[in-house]
Amino acid sequence: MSLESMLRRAERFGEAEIFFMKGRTIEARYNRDMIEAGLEKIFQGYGLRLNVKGRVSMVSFDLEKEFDRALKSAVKMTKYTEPVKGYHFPEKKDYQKVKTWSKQVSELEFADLVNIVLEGIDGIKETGAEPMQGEVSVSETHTYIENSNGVNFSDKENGISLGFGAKRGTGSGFDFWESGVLDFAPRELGKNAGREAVENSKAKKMGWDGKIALHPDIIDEFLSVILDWIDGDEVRRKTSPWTGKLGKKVLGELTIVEDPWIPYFPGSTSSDDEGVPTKKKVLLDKGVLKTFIYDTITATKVRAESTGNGFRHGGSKISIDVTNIVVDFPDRESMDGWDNCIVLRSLMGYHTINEKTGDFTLTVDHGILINGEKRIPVKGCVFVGNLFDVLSQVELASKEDYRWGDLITPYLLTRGRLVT
Amino acid sequence: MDFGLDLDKLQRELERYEFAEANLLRSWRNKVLLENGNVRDLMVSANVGIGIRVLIKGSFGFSFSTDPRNWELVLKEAVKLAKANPRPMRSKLSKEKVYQDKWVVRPRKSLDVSIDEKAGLVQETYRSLEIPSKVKDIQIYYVDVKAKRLYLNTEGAFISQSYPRTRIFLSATAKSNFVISAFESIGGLYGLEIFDKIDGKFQEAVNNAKNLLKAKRAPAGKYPAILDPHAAGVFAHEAVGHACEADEIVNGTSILKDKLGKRIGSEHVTIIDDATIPRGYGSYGYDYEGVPGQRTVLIESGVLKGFMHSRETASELGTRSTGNARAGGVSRFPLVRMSNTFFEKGDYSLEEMLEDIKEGVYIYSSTGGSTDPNSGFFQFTAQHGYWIEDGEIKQMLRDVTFSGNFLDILHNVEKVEKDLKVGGAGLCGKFGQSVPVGDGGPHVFVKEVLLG
Repeated sequence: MSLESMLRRAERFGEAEIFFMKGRTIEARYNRDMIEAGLEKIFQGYGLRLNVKGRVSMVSFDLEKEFDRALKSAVKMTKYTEPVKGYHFPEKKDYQKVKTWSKQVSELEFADLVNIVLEGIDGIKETGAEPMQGEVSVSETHTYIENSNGVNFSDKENGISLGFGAKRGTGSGFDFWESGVLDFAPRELGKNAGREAVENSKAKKMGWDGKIALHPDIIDEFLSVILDWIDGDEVRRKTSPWTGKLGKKVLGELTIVEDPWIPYFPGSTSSDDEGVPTKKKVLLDKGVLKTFIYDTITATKVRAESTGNGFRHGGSKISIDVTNIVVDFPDRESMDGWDNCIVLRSLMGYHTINEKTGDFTLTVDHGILINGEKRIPVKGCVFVGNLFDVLSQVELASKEDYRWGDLITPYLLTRGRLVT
Repeated sequence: MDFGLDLDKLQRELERYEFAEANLLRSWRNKVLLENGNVRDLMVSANVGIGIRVLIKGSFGFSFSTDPRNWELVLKEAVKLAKANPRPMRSKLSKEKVYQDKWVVRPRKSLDVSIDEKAGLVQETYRSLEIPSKVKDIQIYYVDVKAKRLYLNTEGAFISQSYPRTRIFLSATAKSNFVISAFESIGGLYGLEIFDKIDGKFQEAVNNAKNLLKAKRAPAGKYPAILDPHAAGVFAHEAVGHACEADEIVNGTSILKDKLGKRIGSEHVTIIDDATIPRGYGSYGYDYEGVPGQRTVLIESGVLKGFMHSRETASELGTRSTGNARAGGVSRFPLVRMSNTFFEKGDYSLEEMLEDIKEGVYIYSSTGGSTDPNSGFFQFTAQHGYWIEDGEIKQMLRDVTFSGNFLDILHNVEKVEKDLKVGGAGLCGKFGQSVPVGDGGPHVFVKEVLLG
């Protein structure tokens, strides 16, 4: 049965939407310096949503033959959900053309992934560290969205992800890369992980109250909490600390932009999973909160427009999420000049950050005290603080930008306290 | 069990290889999200899949499809991947008893009712709550799964498992000049009888959200502490359990790698992983390698007694699998994972633990923790805590965290409660694979923890 046939049949009961995704991933998994396994996944799944006078239901299923049962469930559920007055599925609009698929990635086979793994492992070994477990994987997905209001969107995307973990004694290191093109050097990633493990094996606990530089990995983890505070649904429910703060200065001088259109980036897409075109938007401009983000249902509830941020994760319901994030800060300088500061590389226990107050107590997994010519590795002490404070007190950013998954950011220099 | 394929033929094909195994799963899932009493989302999903793993000359190949009818292609791809490996690990599997068995857990109250009836039960739960004015938002999330899993392998194993798994979670958010939340989660291999298990726990979470608005920040420094059963369970899982997973031992990435048979904690410490807890959230009949789930003693009276194994790690360390090979669904490669992990009960009452504490902290539940098994450093955050003074539980504390090396904590355990409550429901996310796990335990008294 075609998606259009499914749509027509569902439309007998109200506004309908069919989402379909199919894809394939291949993975080379390594352990120590050997290839543990080759893995492949071929998957597909449907999502059916019905909207009957603002009452919306959702069913997901893997196989086409489940459609009749899915439709029956969807129809029944619309009788029981709370209505959202004036709600409609989105209408057809034009989409920005975004580069999300490359031929070179699509042509990668298991043997290519093995070669990438072995190159990375060689890089780790060159530093005197040992490789740990990890994997290199390539994925390709095709997405289709059709609804009763004319949305008829399809797209394909692919990408490669590399993770290299290394150890030396009780020290460990890690580096990774995600991209839609072959723009990486596996040996260098392996070397980065290896060097980090060697350095980390000599690390000691240390108390500190002073300048702290944050690695992009840490900024990424901190932003995953902060960006929940601009989630339109959290704001509607008044559970976000930034409720009522639109237009106000909330985070020092940081500028945070969501850019779904960066070519071949992991989060890039021209549409969200409801068929709403994505937009490039400034979330914070020099610390001033510029917008909240919405899916269609939340937007209707608060009489706003969807910002193209309704996404599905696996077979789950639509939830509000961001794509690629770009961080900027007005004052930049080379990190070579950063002295008497601890560069924090990785922390443990991000999921224990208090998501409402921003308070955190995180164990330092890897840090380096820069003191003149000396580099002194640090670990095991505890970074205590508050996300608002740490990000509001940023004084400087590195001249260079760095990529970390779907984030582009400089290192940020702020102040903080480590306790032993 | 209907997977739409010829299982005899699949079994015969698997037997052609040095080692091959198939895991098939069919599941039906219902979800209800209630927002402040209103049904915000209802969702139904039906999922199916087959994962086949082969081992050829020490090399694993694994393939998965959402359509089990494609099993021949899946098997072919798995074989192709195993054979294409230029630098195999020379993996082997331990020799284990081969089972042909059915493992069935039936819900006491059937899940075969419509989703709107389930939504009605969630609404009743909400209506039973007394909600203080400071509590501005209550979300109740209910999910149930009816699963049928089938396992076959080259050695002739043929195991079917049918079970329900349900979880109900409440989040209460209170607001004054700041926003703060409290949570409670209940889960297990239950049917709709899960609603009978709530028993005041959700009301307690709602009250906690309100009370947290007035709670003081926990002090920093070294204090004696009592971990409540859930906190003790999460500590047993995060800090100790991960370091006892044999893949960490084999890879040399656990601080416990050369400590088997040695004392690593006080005589009061006995820690167990047990997949056979009746209706435990992390319980199962057989793991993803066809080995029965079992009770494994990790630490006994302070001495490290064993690790959790898959067939691969058991072979490498010359022992038997403990039935801990689990995967986040049949689309994933099995790893060594915990089931229900907890401190074994001791000899003391909670009152006896409290009486010797002049100044200390009662650690209430957990929002999570993490450990570096290689160094033993851990980080733990409680939902909240209470100040203990002269043997009495006093005012509420927020932002209660403690950290350090878990071996120090194990040596500092001085008393363990004589009651055991295993009933926690959580998800463990090792290597990005989420599996249901249970925890709990007795109250545990630690003479010194580093707070803040």
